[in-house]
Amino acid sequence: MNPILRCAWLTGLLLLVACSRTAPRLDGALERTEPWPAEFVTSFGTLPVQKDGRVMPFSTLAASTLYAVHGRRDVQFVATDERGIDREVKLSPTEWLLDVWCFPEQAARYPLFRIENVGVLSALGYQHGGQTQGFEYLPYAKLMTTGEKLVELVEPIREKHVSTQSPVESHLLKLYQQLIVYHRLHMQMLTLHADLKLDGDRLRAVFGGDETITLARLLRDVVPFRELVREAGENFQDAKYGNLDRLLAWLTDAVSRDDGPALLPPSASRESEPAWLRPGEVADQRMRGAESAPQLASLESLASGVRGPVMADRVRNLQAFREGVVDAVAARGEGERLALESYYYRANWHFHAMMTFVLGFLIAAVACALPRSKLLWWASMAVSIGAVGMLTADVWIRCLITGHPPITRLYDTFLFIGGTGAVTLVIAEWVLARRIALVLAPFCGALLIMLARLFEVADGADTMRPLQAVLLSNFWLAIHVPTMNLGYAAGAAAALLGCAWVAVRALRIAHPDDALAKSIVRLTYGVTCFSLATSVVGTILGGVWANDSWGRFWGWDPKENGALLICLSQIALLHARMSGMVRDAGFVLWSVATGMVVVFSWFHTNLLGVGLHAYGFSSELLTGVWLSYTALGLFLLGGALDVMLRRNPAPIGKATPDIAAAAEA
Amino acid sequence: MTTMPSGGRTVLGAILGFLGSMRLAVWILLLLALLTLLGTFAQSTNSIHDVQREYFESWYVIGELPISVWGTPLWPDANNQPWALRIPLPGAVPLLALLAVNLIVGGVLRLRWSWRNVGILVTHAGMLMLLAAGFVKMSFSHAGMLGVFETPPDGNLHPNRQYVTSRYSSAHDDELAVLIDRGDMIEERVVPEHQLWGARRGVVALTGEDLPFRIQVHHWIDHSRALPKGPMVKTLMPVVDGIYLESVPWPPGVQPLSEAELSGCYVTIHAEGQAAIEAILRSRRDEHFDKTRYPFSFEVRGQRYGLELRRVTRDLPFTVRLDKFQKRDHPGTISPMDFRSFVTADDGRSQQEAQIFMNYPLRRDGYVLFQSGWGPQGPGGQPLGPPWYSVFEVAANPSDTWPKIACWVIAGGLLIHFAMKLWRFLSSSTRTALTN
Repeated sequence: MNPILRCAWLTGLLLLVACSRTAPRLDGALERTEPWPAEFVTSFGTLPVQKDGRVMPFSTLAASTLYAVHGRRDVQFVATDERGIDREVKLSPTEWLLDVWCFPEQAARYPLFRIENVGVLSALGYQHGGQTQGFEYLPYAKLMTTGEKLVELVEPIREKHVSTQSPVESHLLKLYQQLIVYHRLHMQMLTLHADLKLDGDRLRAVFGGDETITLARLLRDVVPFRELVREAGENFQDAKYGNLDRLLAWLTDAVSRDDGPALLPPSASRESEPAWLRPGEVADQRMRGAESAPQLASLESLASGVRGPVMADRVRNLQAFREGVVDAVAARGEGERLALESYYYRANWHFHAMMTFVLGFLIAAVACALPRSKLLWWASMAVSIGAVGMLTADVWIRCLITGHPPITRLYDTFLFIGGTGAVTLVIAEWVLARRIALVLAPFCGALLIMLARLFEVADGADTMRPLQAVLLSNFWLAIHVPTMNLGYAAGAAAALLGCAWVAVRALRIAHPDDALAKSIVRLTYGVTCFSLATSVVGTILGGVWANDSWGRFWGWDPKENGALLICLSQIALLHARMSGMVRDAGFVLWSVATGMVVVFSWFHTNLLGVGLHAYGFSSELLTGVWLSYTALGLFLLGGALDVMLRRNPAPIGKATPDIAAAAEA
Repeated sequence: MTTMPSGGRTVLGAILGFLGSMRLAVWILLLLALLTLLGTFAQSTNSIHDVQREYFESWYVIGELPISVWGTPLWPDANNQPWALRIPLPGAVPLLALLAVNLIVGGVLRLRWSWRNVGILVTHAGMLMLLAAGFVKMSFSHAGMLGVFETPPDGNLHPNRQYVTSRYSSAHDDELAVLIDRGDMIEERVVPEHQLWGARRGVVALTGEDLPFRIQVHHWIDHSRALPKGPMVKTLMPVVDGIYLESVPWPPGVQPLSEAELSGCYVTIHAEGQAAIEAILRSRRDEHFDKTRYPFSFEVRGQRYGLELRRVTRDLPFTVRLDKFQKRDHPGTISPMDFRSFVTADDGRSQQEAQIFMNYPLRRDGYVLFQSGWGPQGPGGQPLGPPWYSVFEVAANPSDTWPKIACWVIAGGLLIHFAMKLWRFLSSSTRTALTN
């Protein structure tokens, strides 16, 4: 069978397997029987909240939290509706977080926590049918029944360094961290859902004779309640005060356990009081005698919203809460980029860019099959340039939101390198139109955006979170980081061209002396030169920045060493080419090897767990790194074997020795 | 006089040809790449300072390549560290020296000086400047840390806190000082730490011309702690006054920090007509657990002497006073958005008020002061002040600004060269031949 056809079959089969995933089943019945109104979900997604040092839309909070606890972009499960019919439910991050807020009991039963290794189930004492290809999804409610066991298991694991943990141990630790994230959200809203039972006439009299109250009600009538507490003094356990002691204990617990996002902007100015308040902190302030009237009004709207019995009431109260917060935010002069951020996530330009790149790739593939068609060449070039435009828009909007240059996080590097790699290859195609770079440009763009999306979910963190103090220098962020990443992009593009040369030779699409193969070598050479220039300048600029920040130009940090390795490899490669140590085959294979060095510098140095750039270990990222090494290694090994075993492959079609000689010149 | 080898070239010419050849450049660059790679992997088990010394400031090294597949160590040891392939390599010193020679001979002197090569010549000149900057830094620079407390606004100074100072101490290097009591002054004889490293596995003997004794240094430990020898404790280390030294291992997977290491050693003092004197020395002393006498003092022939193992200290030509320390966090977190020190530098003639914060050091009299740390901090960076203190990194490097100039020179050279190459290609017939 034709190798290209074989690859297509294999890809199709993999896609089929991926799409045939059956959704897990929800335990018990659905509490919320009607869907969230679509307009409300969009509107409530723009609610400002403060988390991890910045004000962000509710939708961003929901998405990053869902990625962190669920590892997917949506929640899917099969549930039995009120008529007894099974139906598949799919929730967006905003809908899911709304459920966590408003229907905590139902949300606690969602199959959320992904278990990939059955060793984790065994360790926690759950029954299972052995390791399968699929994953188990455990709900929060079920996992909490073994919470103590999990804490017990995790305690010694936390003492171990990440490199010495077994796969089950690291999975248990990750599960624990995910559980904590969810637990904080759950408990924050559970406080607002609680019905507080009042015993004793004295206590009931404070709240107009009511037998049960909510936290919002308690805070509204806090003045007489505070007087009662003051009157009780140390005798608050006295029977005449009813269950005042338990009420105070619950209140203390509610205040101290509120570790969720801050939802209520303070009345003071942004400069004097930058930190927002959590519901627990508002309760604490009220108990201490603060007025907190605007926050209390907001809290009451929120409490009515999350507890309302009818969907329409909930929506109305939650909208009132949102409007109150939006007004307070505007008064403080905060959140001026919230609308833009909401638009950014709604518009999803990088996703559209990815799909457009895929289209460009398909057109380029057809253009290769029909080499006389100039229309297809132009079409593919136009589509790829359009996709680059979309990606540029995406990156540009991110810059406007964060107020920083394009790259501040590892996530940004995927988008930047995807875009600049595609631009490099488009320019290469323009310089030497042999339709190889035409295929590789959209492939590079689509692949890197896809990896960015996978990384975003695996990382499970807000991709626009504030930077640490040393990185808050837009001058250096604007010149060193993009220059260095241009070097990565061009290095990766050169490696892709090298792989294309190997494939073209191995699949006998062109003879090594044909113009096509010679063109690829030329392109690889040009792209390598560009990569070298940007890598060298970027590396030295990094040193100059380090000299300004830490007082040393070079500290042999793994990231610095990685950048140096790219420079050394490429300088050696160009000198080897000039001195005749390597010819075409050696040059392209060395470029593939340099691609592995680029992967090492780009990611692997961050995963070594040492140095200034060890941002945190991610097993998914490490798997991706080894996958890249393996893929490039296979091209390198396969190419080398092909060159050694078939030193002079039979000519294919019309040989063009005159062109070969010209190319050598 | 040089002889003529076959082929009509002189021996000198052949040597210069070899030293300036591109093939040599390729091999040097590949060896440097391998050295850099192994030096990077070595940091998983060694401090950056040690790796720098062993790999990048040495003449030769036995590099170790850890063997793992898909992140899984092959033949791991008890700490799950992979088995390492040991590769003997030249260190960075000979490689960089050879590279400099190669660049001068092949990349500047023997290269044809024409417009066609102007980009390469400029780039090579920039590279040489960079190498020169590295050489000057390695040979003539020094660095250290200076810590100072915020001066209280009410002027109520605490006696045990340092508010104004010009003294900074090395982050890594220790020295052994022999103190001689001259009555009205203390005379010092200093031995740098690297001269004592032989004591890790052997004995280093120290003598002085007018000193009536000989010092033997032995059992040197880079990261040590002093422990009392109880009846149930078994140790192979010598016990002095009921105390012995023990090596402190770093937890598996944690990179050692040389600046946090406390070196320690045993000394034996031999003087004629006197019994040998034994002592334990440590570079810093923990008041609660360290029972070693500090500094260690003894008498020989009625003269009082002392021995002190300590961090190397130097003085700035000006004093530094911390007027105010300011830290701002990202809202609702303890993650610092900005921390800066308002300082006054005073050399006795003039005062300079300045702010030192991230990316904005203070440059004065050939010294550069960087904001390095702050405190006091609790677990997880929890701020425990006021009172606050600032830690500044002090660097004195004559080639401080050379890399910046080299960067622009190299960038210019590469731009000229590659732009000319691209232009030549675009206007040549090769492009047309390859495109059609």
